[in-house]
Amino acid sequence: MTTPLPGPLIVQSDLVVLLETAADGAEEARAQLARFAELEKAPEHVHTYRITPLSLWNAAVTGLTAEDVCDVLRSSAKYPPADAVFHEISELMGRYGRLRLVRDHDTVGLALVADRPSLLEEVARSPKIQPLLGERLDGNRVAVRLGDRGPVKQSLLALGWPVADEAGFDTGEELDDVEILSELRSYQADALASWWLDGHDGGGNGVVTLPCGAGKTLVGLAAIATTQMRTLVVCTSVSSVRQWMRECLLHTSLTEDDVGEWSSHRKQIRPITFVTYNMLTWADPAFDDDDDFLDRYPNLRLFDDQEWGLIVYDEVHLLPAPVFRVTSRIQAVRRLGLTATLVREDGKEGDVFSLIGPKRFDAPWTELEALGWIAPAVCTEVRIDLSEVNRMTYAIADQRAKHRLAATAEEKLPVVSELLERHQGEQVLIIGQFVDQLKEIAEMLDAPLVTGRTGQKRRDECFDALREGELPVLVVSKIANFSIDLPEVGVAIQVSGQFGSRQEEAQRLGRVLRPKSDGSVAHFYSLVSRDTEESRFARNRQRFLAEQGYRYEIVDAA
Amino acid sequence: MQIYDQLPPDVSRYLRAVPLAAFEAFGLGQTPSPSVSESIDAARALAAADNDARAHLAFETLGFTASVLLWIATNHAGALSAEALAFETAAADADDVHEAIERLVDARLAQRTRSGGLQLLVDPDLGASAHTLADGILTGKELTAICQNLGVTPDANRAAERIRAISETFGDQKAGARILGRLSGMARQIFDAIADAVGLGELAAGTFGLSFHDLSWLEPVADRANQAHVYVAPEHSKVAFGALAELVDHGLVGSDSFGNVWIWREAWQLADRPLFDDWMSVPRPEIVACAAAGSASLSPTAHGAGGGAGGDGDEALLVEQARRALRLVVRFEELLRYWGANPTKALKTRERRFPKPSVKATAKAFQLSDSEVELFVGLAMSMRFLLENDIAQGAKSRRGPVDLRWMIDPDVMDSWLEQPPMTKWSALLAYHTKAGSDWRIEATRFLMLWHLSTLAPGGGVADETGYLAWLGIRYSPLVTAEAAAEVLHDLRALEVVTRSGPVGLTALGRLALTDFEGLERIEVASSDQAIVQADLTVVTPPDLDPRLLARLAGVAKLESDAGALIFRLDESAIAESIHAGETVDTITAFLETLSSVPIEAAVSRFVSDAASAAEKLSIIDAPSVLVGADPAELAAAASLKPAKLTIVAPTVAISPLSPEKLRSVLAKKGLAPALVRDGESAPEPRRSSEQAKELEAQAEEYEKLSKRWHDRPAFKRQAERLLADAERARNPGRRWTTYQRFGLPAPPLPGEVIDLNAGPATVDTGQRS
Repeated sequence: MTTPLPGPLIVQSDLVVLLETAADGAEEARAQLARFAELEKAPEHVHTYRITPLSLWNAAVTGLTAEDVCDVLRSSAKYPPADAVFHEISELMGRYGRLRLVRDHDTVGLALVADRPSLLEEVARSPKIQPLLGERLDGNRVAVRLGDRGPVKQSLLALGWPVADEAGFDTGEELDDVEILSELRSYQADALASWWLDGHDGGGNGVVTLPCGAGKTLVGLAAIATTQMRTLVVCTSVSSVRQWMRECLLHTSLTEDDVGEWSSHRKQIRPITFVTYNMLTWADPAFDDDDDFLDRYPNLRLFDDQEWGLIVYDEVHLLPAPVFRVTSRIQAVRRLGLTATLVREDGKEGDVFSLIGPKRFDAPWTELEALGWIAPAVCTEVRIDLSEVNRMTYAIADQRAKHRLAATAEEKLPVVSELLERHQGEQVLIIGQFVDQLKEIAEMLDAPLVTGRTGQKRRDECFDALREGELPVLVVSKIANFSIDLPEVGVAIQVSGQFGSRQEEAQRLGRVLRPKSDGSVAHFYSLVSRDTEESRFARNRQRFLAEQGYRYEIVDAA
Repeated sequence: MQIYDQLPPDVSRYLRAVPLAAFEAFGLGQTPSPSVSESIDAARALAAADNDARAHLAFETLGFTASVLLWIATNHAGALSAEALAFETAAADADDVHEAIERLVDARLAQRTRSGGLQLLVDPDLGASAHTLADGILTGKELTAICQNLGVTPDANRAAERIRAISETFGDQKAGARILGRLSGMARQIFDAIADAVGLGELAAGTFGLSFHDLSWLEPVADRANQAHVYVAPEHSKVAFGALAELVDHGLVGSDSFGNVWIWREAWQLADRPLFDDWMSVPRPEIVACAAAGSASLSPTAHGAGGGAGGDGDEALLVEQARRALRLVVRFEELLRYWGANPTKALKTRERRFPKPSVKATAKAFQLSDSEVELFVGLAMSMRFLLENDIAQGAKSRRGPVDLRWMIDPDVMDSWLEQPPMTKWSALLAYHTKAGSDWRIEATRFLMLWHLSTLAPGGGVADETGYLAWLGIRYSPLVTAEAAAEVLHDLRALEVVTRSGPVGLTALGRLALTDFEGLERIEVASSDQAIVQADLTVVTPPDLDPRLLARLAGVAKLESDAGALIFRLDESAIAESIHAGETVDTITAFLETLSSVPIEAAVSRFVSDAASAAEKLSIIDAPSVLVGADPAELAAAASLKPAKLTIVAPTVAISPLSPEKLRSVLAKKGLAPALVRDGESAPEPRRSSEQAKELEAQAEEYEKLSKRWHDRPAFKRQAERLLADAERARNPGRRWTTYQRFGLPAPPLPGEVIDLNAGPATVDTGQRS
């Protein structure tokens, strides 16, 4: 038998690194690994990290060398890593810095600078890069338009050449001594530090991933206080906007005059302005896709019209396509993406990284749970048998109809009642996909219902009531998937979901993960019709959480 | 296997010069392999044989330089003087030429003359050689005319004498110069143009603006008037015609009625240029140290003598490589199970390969490359795991449409599964080395392994591309760089050759080729624990016991094999296991025992769900299905024992009897059900025992062919091969043991090593006469 070394890391030849959490030195190894590898998943016993070209190049930005990386791997490995691993790491990290993006004062734009003319020649020949390059300035430099800063970096990254962006940021309008009034938790401080990098040009951009309820908002506010610049915060909904504004006033020295809401209800441009993705990407019906982009999406001018020094993207995984396009033109502004679930079913996480910046910080959910920063949660899948009649109806139904039939099975209703009885005295959130079903449930329970059609005022009243403990049960549609802070809600019952969306599952669990004042455990129930498409989707939905270390109990409905 | 120690040195040298003779003598393409003594006898016989077959065996791998030398010598009437040799090879690499001549001599195709020239011992019959005056194209009259035009008087009035005289004249320097001096400038130009363009080959006269009509006038007899009624005389303004006529009249150039012209071989001497000037030379492969090839102390003799494989480093290296090799076996078995469950349609052309879409589908399912899948398919076919099965549709007539599919032979699979792990891997290697539908690839494989085995342990060829090019030159015409690349890819996938870095035999590969028994002694001690996680992944250490690995592969799909192995429990794999006889309890128990941490509920529930889904529907293979509207009637029919009916639903029963037979049985009891034919019956996988008869019939055909063609060895060998295959087909359990001794012989000259310290490759051949 190969005698293993004492380290906790298994370094694979494909640059995946497995961390055995129970092994000696795991904590220290994790801290080291996080500097140059991305956390992919963190189930209980073995966490998976991946060393990617991007993660290595970002490590290089922080001053880490190939030798440093290799030393960590060698000293913490359980089995001797293949030589090819070290070779590849050296090769990849060696590429960083060979191409730089700098300000060119002559052209008042940017210049791509290569350490050798042959390298510039090589990349300039790429069909994807060529259109983004301007005139040749000299043997080693070629002009780049300001607006192409992002696309150039993105395209060169795809080509395998990282660009050291030394062009700096536009400073934006400065704020007057904004302070953060609340103390940051250790992981929040770490997240901020990982993003800011002490003001280095390589920092100030990127994505911070923290579980729901872990206080991403505070990290965003701390970023504002750190940069001390005019900031635009993009949120998922008006409710979320108002929640941010409340948090802003609560945790910082900013006043009501400093914060503004830019929505269909109000148009306030203030030093800290909050806007929704929908508002930003509202399409003027007078124009179509062939017309000028900013005529079609006039609100996107908000990005250019003000001297923003920082843009914060809440739930950045939802970044819609038009924002991608214009965001790439404002690469000169510092930007922070916040999310709990950087998982997109369309696989475009890479686009988010490319345009907002790399993932700077990630913390395993179970770790924060163990430290008490998020509530411990018990996840339960309740399997429900369809009646014979409904089974037959389902069996012969059209493929498209099958999911709906399974998800809205009437057999789920008594289960909801039973769960409520079990959790009497606790606050319960019931979430679903199909409004008809939710209506039926709301009527059955005599509980209020909030859907996309519910007016903003009514929504705010319901959420406030739930927060204040005045409402025992609230039935909501997917509009409550994100960003709604409900600290004392300890039970969530998911009656139906959007196909196999892992992100939705995790976000919904996140509604109950804020630590409870009495330290109680949160409960998340997912009702699934047995032997249907829904049970297949459920397995996929649960995958993300399982990879975060959450266990699902599976019970049969009585 | 120091078989060469038992051969006389000249026979050893012969085998080195003609490596395919070693292939033949040691039966590396045959099954069963001959014994050592039989091999030695065969080698001696081949070396001593004096026939075309022996020569042709040598031609296959003479190498580029030697092949060209042979051709040149042929066009010098089989003999090259020292001066001619030097002249002809002036543009070639001197070392290449020297080595080529050595090879020709060792292969007994040529001998050195006392004066330093080269004399061929065979008539290579290379085809497409130069035209000579003795070809019979020219008539006696024409030869006489040429002699007259040259001012040559032959000793006798015979064609052979005339030709000899003409040839001697051309060979005489003064006479030759005189002849050339007499030619017009245009004639000289045309002569030079033909020599430069095609040497001794044929050139279309259209190059000079002449047609084949014109050439019909090119006869050295002054009888052109006879042609007038057939062809129009060429315009005398066609200057080229006149010049060409000069050359023809003087016996320098020949022509035919197809419009081709050429320089006569005898006249080439006047061309004053080498016959060939496009010599190719590729640098010898540079040999460097190669970690994966083990250390220099890893010698087959030491290991074979039970002395252990070199140092501890070698032992660890062998174990690591063995582990990888065993994972290969696991992967192969996964694929066999997959193909068993998903029989692949055979090509209409009956080629022994999968259709491309099937290859791609398998590659995608298993995250392999297409070429890796093709390698495994080839192995599965040559090892007769996969047999073609005819599935007749409609069974209406023999000429009805046939659906041909590759299906797994269950007997072969069963016997395979009983084999020890390293035996399985070596069997993969053996079949890969031995069998193959393409002789060229098979020979290339042998030659590459043979060459690599000449490198000292611990050595490898530095540059892969250069090595492949060199192989293509050295073993030309049989081996091409492209074929070598294909072979190298496969050998790497099989862990015989290093996967990356310098190209060399892995320590394990060397052991397999030179000391098979040593393989069995490798102790791949292993772990027996893995981590089964709630997200359905199973993380196993790289040294997990292969048997556990194989069992895990039966219920999970391999997601990553880059060190530790990462599997993910898979529904369809679990379903297959259930169908194969496993239960939820056995699978769960296996996972619980395997896992070093408690199994989560999600895992056991997943297994339970997958098993449940597997059990919900089943396909029953039944030749006959009896359907009745009234359950009572059906029950009555089922009570008839001869009918062998089993009720599967209230109104449905099945029987193993054929429809006709069942009907007949029921009819005897007064029942007359309608016989409804529809659809195709499920195919029964073919078994090797059925195939044995076919193989014997094929062997008989080849025996007949052999007798008809004067005992031609190739037919005889094929017959023997087929009989051996038939024998193994009848006894699948014995098949794996017949390949114990497939090993590659060590290099022919004892003591021949590639010295790592001598810079670019040198060959210290030690003994040489």
